[in-house]
Amino acid sequence: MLNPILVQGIEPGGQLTTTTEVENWPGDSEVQGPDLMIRMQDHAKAMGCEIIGDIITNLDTSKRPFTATGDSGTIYTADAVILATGARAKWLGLPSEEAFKGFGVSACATCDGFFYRGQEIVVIGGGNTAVEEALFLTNFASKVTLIHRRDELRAEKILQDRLMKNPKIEPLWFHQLEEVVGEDNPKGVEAVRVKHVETGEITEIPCKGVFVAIGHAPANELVKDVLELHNGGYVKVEAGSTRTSIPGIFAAGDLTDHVYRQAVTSAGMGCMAALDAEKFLAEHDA
Amino acid sequence: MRRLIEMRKPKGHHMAETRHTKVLIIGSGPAGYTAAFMPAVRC
Repeated sequence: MLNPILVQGIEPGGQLTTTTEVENWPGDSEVQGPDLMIRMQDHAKAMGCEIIGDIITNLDTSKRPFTATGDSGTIYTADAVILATGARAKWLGLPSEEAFKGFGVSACATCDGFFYRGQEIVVIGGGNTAVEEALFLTNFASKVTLIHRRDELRAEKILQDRLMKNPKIEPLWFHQLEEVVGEDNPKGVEAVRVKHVETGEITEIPCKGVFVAIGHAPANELVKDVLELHNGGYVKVEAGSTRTSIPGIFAAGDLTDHVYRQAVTSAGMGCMAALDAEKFLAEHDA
Repeated sequence: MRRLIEMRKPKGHHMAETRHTKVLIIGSGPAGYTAAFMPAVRC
């Protein structure tokens, strides 16, 4: 038996614990994100994995066995390491944004767009993430206002073309979000206040949903100085595998995937990493 | 949600322990948990 140890990290269950319905998980037409993660955790335990509530604060990859240090003081040594630390959505850092997270403010259109059927929403950002989210949200919303601080988008041309042709989307150039405005009882968003970046003029836009789409950042703190990275900090793996630039270290999920970022693709990469690790150990420890 | 969080090890044990494993998985999203049940299943 390999008897793997899994150290949960700072957010047990990952990003799915902050979502509600997951509608693209095979075998479940609809499952709650936290429930899915509880089931996966139970499955891992049932198969003999020891799951530990600790946070790895340092990983020494200079020699095998690799040495990881836990926040608890526990030292973990391992012949192979699978990195699955995920990614986090970037936020603007506004107090009102924080106050309404989960109550009208979201960073995941795929997760939460369904709740805004027939309503007006705004999307913040100008890159691929923002345009993709805006386009996706037109499946539900009556109107999507894309708020961007410049007068041109950074998104790929094909995405820009789709956006401009979509009658439900209205870009608002040269503006940035100043405040999310809402009610406390019941808690929800009613509008956003945006500021013109040149004139400073404040405008209030009524909306029920605010999607912050300024990108994601991989949680690469443990390995950013030792592993080869690409596309803004994602851990680079060999094509068709989960092998990183250090033999014996494998990476899976949103830490390495800047394209798909779905639960099902992350799970697939987790499976690949386990098989890659097994193969590595069989070849090196036989 | 409570069931997802294992008993957190207290910060900075005075008696630090050392654990060895063949495979250490860091992270507990879909990738981590799927990796966690694969090695056990196959061996």
